[in-house]
Amino acid sequence: MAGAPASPLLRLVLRIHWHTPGWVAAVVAAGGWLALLVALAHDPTHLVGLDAPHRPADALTHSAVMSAAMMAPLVVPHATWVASFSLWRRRYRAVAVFLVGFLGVWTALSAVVLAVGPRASSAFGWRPTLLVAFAVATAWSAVPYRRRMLQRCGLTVPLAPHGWRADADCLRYGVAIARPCVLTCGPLMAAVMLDHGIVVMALAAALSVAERRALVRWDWSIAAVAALGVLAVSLAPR
Amino acid sequence: MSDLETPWVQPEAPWAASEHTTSEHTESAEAPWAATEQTTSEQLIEPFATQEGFDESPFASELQTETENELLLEDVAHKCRPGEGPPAAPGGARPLIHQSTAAVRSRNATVGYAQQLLNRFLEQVRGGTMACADTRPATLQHIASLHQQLKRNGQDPLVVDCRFGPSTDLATKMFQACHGLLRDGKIGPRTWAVLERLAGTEPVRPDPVPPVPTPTQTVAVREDVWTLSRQDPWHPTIRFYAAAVGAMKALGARLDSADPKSWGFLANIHNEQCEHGNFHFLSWHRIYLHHFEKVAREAVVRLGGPATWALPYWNYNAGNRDDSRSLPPAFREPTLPDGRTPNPLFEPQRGAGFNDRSRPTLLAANNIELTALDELAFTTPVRGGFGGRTPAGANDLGDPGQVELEPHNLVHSMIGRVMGDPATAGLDPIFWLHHANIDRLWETWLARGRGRANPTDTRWTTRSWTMGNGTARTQMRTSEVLSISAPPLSYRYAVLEDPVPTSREAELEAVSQFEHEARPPEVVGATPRPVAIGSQLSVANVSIARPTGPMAEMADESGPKPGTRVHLRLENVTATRLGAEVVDVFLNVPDPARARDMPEHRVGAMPMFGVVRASKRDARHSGGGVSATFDITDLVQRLREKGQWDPAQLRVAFVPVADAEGRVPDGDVAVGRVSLFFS
Repeated sequence: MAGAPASPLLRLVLRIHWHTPGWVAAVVAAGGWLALLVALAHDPTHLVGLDAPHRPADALTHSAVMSAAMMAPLVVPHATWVASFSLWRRRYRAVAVFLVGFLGVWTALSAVVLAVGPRASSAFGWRPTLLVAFAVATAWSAVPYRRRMLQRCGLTVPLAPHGWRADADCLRYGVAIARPCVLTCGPLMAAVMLDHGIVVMALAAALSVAERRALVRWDWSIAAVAALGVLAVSLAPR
Repeated sequence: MSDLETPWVQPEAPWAASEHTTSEHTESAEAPWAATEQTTSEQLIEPFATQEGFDESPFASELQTETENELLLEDVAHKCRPGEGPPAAPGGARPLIHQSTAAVRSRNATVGYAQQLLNRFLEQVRGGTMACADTRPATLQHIASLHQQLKRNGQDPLVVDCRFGPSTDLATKMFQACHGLLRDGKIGPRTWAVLERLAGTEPVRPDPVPPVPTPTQTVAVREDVWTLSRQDPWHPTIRFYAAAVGAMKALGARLDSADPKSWGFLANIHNEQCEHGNFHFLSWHRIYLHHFEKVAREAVVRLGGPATWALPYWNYNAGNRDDSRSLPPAFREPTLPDGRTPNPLFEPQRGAGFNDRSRPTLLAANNIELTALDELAFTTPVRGGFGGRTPAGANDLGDPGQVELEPHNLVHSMIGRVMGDPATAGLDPIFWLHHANIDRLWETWLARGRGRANPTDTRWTTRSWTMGNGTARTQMRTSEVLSISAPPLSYRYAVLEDPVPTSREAELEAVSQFEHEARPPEVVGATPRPVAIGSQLSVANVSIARPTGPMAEMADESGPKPGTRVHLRLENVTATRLGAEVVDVFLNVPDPARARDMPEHRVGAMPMFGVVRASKRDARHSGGGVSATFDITDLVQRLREKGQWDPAQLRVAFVPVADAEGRVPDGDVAVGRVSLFFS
């Protein structure tokens, strides 16, 4: 590596900095998981799910943290792409603006779920609500339209090189990627957020990443969503 | 025009009757291949028998007796057959033998004897026990490179068939290189003297049982269609292709045909499943060709043709002969030689002049250059390498490889119309020959060696595709199709014909060897908004900034330093309606209106193949259009030498290419961004 430092660790850091600038999205996700683990340490019931209403401010914070933890890993390639196709001095700014657009959409939708979910569970009971949410997620995962949306997750857009146009393009790109992402993962994520047990959350995030990386077959992912539902309901405290 | 309304559907084609035929076709079963199992040789001859020049049908004799042409189908007319064992050493002086059209030089028992001796040499090569007189690293590397080619041909060991073909030629050159002889592939007195020393050598693994036929012994040979056409425009291989196409069209010529063996169904696989713009392009199309060839061969055999029939390829670069750049005659004739039977290989919906029988339009030579072969990596971060950029995840953040852009996309776009749209391209019979050539270029690229290799990424090797259904179904993964001569593919190309590498190969070697370890490519300029390309000239100005990242030390105020590669990217090219099929791209032309007169400023050509498709948001596309990357390092260097390089500003001119009749339709093509990268 040209001008590379002698230390293997520093070489690795430099390599990631140069070739995988999307690491920022991974770090954001890691931050989200760390915050969730801290919450778990304070309240172990978060491990398997919690049927408790949030105050509006908490709902927004919680949805931001959950969105970062679960959704940011999906866009590491996109963040790398945004950085690689921006001027060098703007690459991390471009990634940050892109993530604001992408996670902003998810946070807003998650906040709505966290606000509406508890009302549904108080009306129908938590387990029936979870059951219905995961049933909808399983059915949605089998819909061909969803596959079409998944394809759109690979969208790229032209990015202006500098100025406000560049920021606007990155923000717009984040929103543009969030849209098909919501339409593919939305029902599952809504179900997971209703449950907000960390175990189910982690498994759902892993499943989503595997699906994006084409590591699981289409029919297996449908079965996996159904299995997640069974797990969430069976773990839910009575 | 809708795909389903196109006039190439020929419901009244005379070859319409088969066991699958519907009632609308049954009354017109006059063509020779109409009756499938019932077809006779006489029927097959008939349409070719009355045309001028065919007054004594060339097929008549061929169907009765084997001829020289039939040898192209891996015949068994030699004095030794594969697996029979070696002929004894001939008596008397050893004759000169080499690749030749003369049987005395290339097809006789002495050749079989030499092949047996060469196999002993190859045994030593495999076992690492060869005792070479020339042990220089370059020589050993050369031998290893030739050995790789031999293995890819499925000819290690050589099939002892008493025929001095390309593989025997390769083995001879390996042997000559090893022993410090002139590497001319000719076995004359000097080579014989050294080669026959091996006669006393016991084979390392004597095999007392009769050799078991190996799959490589039934390897079908894909021949160049122009080589065949020059022997006979209706060479048996072409004739049987025409017959098979006719039979398949009879089963359904429209894209919505349900029969998996029908022409329309097979073409529709490309419409619905094709992989373009990422690193699956080559492997997907190889499996697709194999699937098609299986179905076509079945039809050929049913029509009385050889079981070893193989799809020909169209080598438009062959021997720098101009006529190779035109469609072969059999594809331009509206009728078969009888003058009345419609020719199944004729497609009326082709670009202006391509079907002209006397002076056909030629593919532009500067749009079918093989510089893609200079690429050293299958996939690279910016320009897609030879085969295409790795897509990120399940969707298409990839980029086309250089061979996909040129010649693949450009040939599609230049022929245009049916061939110019991925949805309909498979309906033109030339499509399959074009793709066979692209597949051959993949083999040629690998055979060049110097580190060229297929990806090992499991996302590439384990990717699986299913094509067809019922009685015509193929399910394969990429890892199964990496050796063409081995089952399940079992074919080879008659000639790989690798052009001389350009100086770019050495330059790329210098920068690409550690590309993943070295500095990342860096954007140094881009247009702030899309550039519309209409039917006239369009110009885009790109402000160039000095690189500030790791590439900073690779450039100064005057531009990129030596050793820096410069890439021009056309990103997110979209359209709902195409204008010109091909757009020429020029750099820093003093007077853009005269760009065409300044070929020294030409970057290359942007083919519009697949642009409309990739601009749609559907089950297979994100709607982001297509991108293309051009390596302009040499051009930038030339411009600097002429004082026409401005390190702060780049002017890119887009000139739509008119068709042979001078027309450029109006379209709404836009280049999302024009960018400049240093790497």
